[in-house]
Amino acid sequence: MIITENLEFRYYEGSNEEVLDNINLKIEKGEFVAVLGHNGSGKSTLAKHFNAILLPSGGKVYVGGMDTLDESLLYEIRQMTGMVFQNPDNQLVATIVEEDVAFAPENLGVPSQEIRKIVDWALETVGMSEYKRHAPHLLSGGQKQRVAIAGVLAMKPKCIVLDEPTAMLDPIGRKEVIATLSKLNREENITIVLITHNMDEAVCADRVIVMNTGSIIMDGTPKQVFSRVDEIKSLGLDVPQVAELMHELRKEGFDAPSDVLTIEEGYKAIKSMLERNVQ
Amino acid sequence: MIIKAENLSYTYSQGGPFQKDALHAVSFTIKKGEFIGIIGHTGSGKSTLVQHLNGLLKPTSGKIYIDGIDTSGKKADLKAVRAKVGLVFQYPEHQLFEETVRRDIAFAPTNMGLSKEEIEERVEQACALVGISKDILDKSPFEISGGQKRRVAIAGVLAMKPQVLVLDEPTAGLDPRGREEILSQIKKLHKDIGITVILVSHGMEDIANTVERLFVMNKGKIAMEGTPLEVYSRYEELEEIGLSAPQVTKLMKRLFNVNVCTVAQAKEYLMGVLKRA
Ligand SMILES: Nc1ncnc2c1ncn2[C@@H]1O[C@H](COP(=O)(O)OP(=O)(O)OP(=O)(O)O)[C@@H](O)[C@H]1O
Ligand SMILES: Nc1ncnc2c1ncn2[C@@H]1O[C@H](COP(=O)(O)OP(=O)(O)OP(=O)(O)O)[C@@H](O)[C@H]1O
Ligand SMILES: [Mg+2]
Ligand SMILES: [Mg+2]
Repeated sequence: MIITENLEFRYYEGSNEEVLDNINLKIEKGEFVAVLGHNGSGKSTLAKHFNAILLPSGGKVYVGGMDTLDESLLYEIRQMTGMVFQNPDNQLVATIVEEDVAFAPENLGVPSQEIRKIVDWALETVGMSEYKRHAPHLLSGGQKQRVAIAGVLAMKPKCIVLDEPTAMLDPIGRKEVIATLSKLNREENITIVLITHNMDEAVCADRVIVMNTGSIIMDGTPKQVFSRVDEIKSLGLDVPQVAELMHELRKEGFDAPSDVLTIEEGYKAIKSMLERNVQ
Repeated sequence: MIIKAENLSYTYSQGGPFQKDALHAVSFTIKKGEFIGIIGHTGSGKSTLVQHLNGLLKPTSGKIYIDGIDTSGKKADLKAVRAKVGLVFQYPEHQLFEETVRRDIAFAPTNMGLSKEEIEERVEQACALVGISKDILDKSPFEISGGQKRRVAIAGVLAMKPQVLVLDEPTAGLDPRGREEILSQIKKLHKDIGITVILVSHGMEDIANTVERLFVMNKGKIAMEGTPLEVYSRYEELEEIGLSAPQVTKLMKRLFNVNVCTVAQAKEYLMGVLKRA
């Protein structure tokens, strides 16, 4: 779905500040990938290469086989990969919520009856139906974020790239968004790239990529990545609380497993430690 | 420096097409030196509430007193209120407008008429507090990453040295280390100089690790109040209103029916019941 070959990027010509440094990445169709990394590590810069908002200073990016440097393919690339930006205000364009969500399908020439259905579905999916006649700029922070997500869902792209889409959402809202993404991924085979600072969300992905100052430094399943607790912490990141708890217990000399990420797994692990107690 | 709200209600665009009752008869008292957390579902009225704390919004009905000043009073000295209460907005990066990061952080102290040396010192201190490295000080605030922008915005308010610091989702968009660093710096400011802090957050773990007392908002009202331990132990109720509790709270409740809200508390309990390998 997305391939980068020796991707390099600088914001200024001739600058020696390499914001992306030799990124080689292959994201298959239907994967659910989470991208982690410290502030300024290059996550947003990388994501903007996935729908040709930014173009490589060196190397190549292919989206669905299309070279992003080929200007004649721009429209098709943008149709294939929808992007939810880090700041929803940069995304909301219309004066009424439902018009905003209808913006992309209208541009794509979808018939108007169909648009009605898609818009209703997208707003329903993010739980914002009751605000459809509202003005986007008068919504709360989290409400804006939900509308921005609905706007991209309405494009029905093959790949959705989301740059910290849940940063302003409450815990249940966050869970709902992740559940929606998982569902789209599972049922419609839509490729998902989710940039996040929330480790519990990253656990829901199939694959976790960790960036560090412009390079990819880890790439694996959530269990592989989050079992390297000390390394993750040294990169300025964190692990889910349950994993941290297990790590702390190991440091104290307890025999606690290192591949525990969720409450359910933590429950089982501690139960079995308690059973070993009595033996 | 007491903050007191009495039956505070607020309605947006009264009579207009987007009329919205955002706060309903909210009452509370915050004492000098407290560290308060506010949690609540999206749209519950948190940002509306905190914008009353520096007179940016005024009650539609009811009252709010900031250090004795009734902000809706005819002769209310709002300038005095704003000098006392520093507010970091939910999307503070929208308030960045100067040519360089340095000038942005220096904006409020410059307006306060401080000396050049004093301004420089405050900018330096504020940068150290939020972890801004010197090499971005002369960049444009539009050419830095999302998390960097947020740090700059927080530094700008810290440079005012307010008596009350109100932060609306300050850690959204920060990486975990940044989050921990900023929260621990704020905790330190609170401990060392007794600054009052009011922290709005969707980060249940952050709140559990930081605040002393917690308000839970639901649909424009304060639905619960208490220490983090008291509030999070009622996590089933929290989940009904869009919230949650830290992972360890749920885990330990399920395992032992005990109440904890931090990893450290869970660890301490487990060390008492588990035998070493
Ligand atoms: N428009 C720009 N012009 C120049 N430099 C930029 C620009 N945008 C970002 N940068 C720099 O590029 C680097 C990578 O930024 P990027 O926004 O990709 O980071 P990020 O990983 O998304 O960070 P965050 O978690 O804070 O959003 C940073 O050092 C940043 O200061
Ligand atoms: N300028 C405005 N005009 C009309 N309604 C508004 C305006 N600003 C906010 N609202 C509405 O008032 C309610 C409370 O909004 P507020 O921003 O206080 O919520 P919040 O608790 O801060 O939410 P979030 O967690 O998403 O930031 C919401 O339903 C919102 O849509
Ligand atoms: Mg970013
Ligand atoms: Mg808000």
